[in-house]
Order: sequence, then C-alpha cells, then structure tokens
Amino acid sequence: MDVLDVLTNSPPDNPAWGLRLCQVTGHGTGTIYPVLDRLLKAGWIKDYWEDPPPADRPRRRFYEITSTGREQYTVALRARDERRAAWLRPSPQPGTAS
Amino acid sequence: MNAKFQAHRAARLGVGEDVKLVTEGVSLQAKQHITIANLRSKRFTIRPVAQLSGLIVSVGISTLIQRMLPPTFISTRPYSWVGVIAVPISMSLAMFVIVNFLNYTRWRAVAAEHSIQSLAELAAFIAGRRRLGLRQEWAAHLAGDSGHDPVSWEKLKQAVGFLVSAVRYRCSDAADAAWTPVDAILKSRILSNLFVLLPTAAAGCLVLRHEGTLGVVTAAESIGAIGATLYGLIRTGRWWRNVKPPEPKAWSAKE
Repeated sequence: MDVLDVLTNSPPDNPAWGLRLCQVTGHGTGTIYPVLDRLLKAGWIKDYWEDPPPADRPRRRFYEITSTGREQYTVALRARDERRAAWLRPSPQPGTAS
Repeated sequence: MNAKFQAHRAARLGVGEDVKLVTEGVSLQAKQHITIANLRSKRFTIRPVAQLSGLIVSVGISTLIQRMLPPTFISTRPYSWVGVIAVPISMSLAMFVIVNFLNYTRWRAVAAEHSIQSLAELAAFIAGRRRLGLRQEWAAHLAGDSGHDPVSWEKLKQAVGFLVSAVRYRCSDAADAAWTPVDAILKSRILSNLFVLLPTAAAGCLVLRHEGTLGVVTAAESIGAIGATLYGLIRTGRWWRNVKPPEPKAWSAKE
C-alpha cells in the first residue's frame, strides 16, 4: 500500500525509483524490491530506464503505476475501508431493532 | 563493466574533491583521466615524500643525539655504529606506520566500497539471469541521490537488503514453479474433473474388488466423501489462486 501510494502520487517529471521508494516509505531494500517485482508481474506497475543515460553514474530504473494498477488499487482501498468500517461499526443490540 | 561505469566507480573511490573535479563540460574519457590522476597523485606521492622526510628528520635527530653524548660514551661502546644505522631505520619505520595509519581510513573506505559493490553483484548473481537489469538498478541505488554518495553503514544495510531480495526472488520463482502444475489443473475443467473422478473411481474399484457390490454400497458414503473432499480442494484452490476455468462449451445442436 505504501509503495502504491508513492507511485500514485509521483509526478511524471519526477518518477519514483528504488532509493526514493525506500526513503519515502521507510522500508528496506529487502522489502521494496520484492514488492516491486510482484507488482510488475501482476501488471499493476510498469518500469522504464532513465533516458538518456547519465554519463557519470549508473542509470536509474523508474516505476510508474498503470491504469489497471490504479483501478485495482482503488478497488482494494475501497474494500479495505469497507472492512474496517464493518469491523468498527457497533453490532446492533438485541431488542433495539424496531 | 563498461568504461562509463568504470569512470563512475573511479570517481566514487576518490574523496569529495575528486568528484568535484568531474565537471559537466568534460568528456567521459577526460573525467576518467582526471579522477584516476587524482587518485594516483594522492596514493603514490604522499607516502614516499613523508617517508623521505621522516628519514631525513630521523638521521638529523640521531646525529644530534650522538653529538650531545660525550665522546667517551660513543668510543667506549662497541658496535655504536649499529645505533647510527638502527635509529634512522626505526624512525623511518615509525613514520611509515604513521603514514599508513593516516591512509588507513582511505583504505578502509576503498575496501568498504568494494565490499558493498561485491555484495550487490553477488545479490544480482543470485537473483538470476532473468533479472539482469537488477545489477545496474542496484548500482544506481548504491550511488545514491547524488550519484556519488560516500560509503556508509546505510549502504551496507542496503546491500544486505539486496541479498535478501535476491533470495526472496528465488523463493518466489520456486513457488511459481511449484504452483504451475496446480494452476494447470485448476484452470482446466477436464483436468479438474479427472483430479476428482480418478481417485474416487479408484477407491470404488478397490472396494468392489475386495468386498464386492455390497461393500461398495456399504462404503458409498466414504467414497463420496473422497470425491467431495477433492472437489472442495479444487474449489478452494480456484478461490485461493484466483483462477477461473473456461466456461463449459454448449452442446452444439445437430440438425
């Protein structure tokens, strides 16, 4: 969810990449990269390399959320909110229902 | 490893001043030469100069000591010439140790940089050929925001995290490979039906062979339970793996 939050809110001129995702979410590299791999496999995000490649450092791999990923993420967020609301809603007391 | 990356690596091996010299307008080859020249100048010129100065100072001090001592002391001691040689040599050695100690932090930085790079490369190797891009991606990650971030414990933690990632990639690959036949059964209606019917029929045949028709009638509940359990497994597996079998084909009407 954290990763998808960052990817959703990343502007196109400053896309998210591994280090930034680690810094913003606070998760380590051992968590972030497997998550990115799973999201890529699921088709929720897509990746592309920095173009043109910089001369003085290795080029970065940027990640971007796809339209499918955005839809699925919205659905998942809604489902989570509904679950939370149902969990927090007090159950009706017997005898109070008219 | 290409020339660009070598230049980048050479730049990162140096300290901040080296990196500052890598200016925007200079070509890649020139940048590499500048950086390597700086490294060479720092590594190979400081030490001999310091050692030579140490030797000169130590010879001067030993001469002073011998002049301060009374002549009888020197003349009465046999092998005093050993001291004349030993003092400068020992002081030179001391200077050598001090200079190397001063360079120790630099060596340590270079060694740490190599260790972290090696860890990242090992992690990329473990991740496999299917993920060749990870080598470059992780190199960019270790280079940091600026592209030339200095070595730190944080980098080491990140490199260890790459190893964890690589192991998790492999576990994920193994799990995917293990699920492949299961997914094939769940996706195909024919295979799902065979998965349910074959063991059930086999159990029925076994009971029929050993206990006859009456045994089959008696054990009908158990045989049915086997079938129901297997069908339940198929349904649960489809739900768990989010697999939907194709819709059954409608019988074509023959005219």
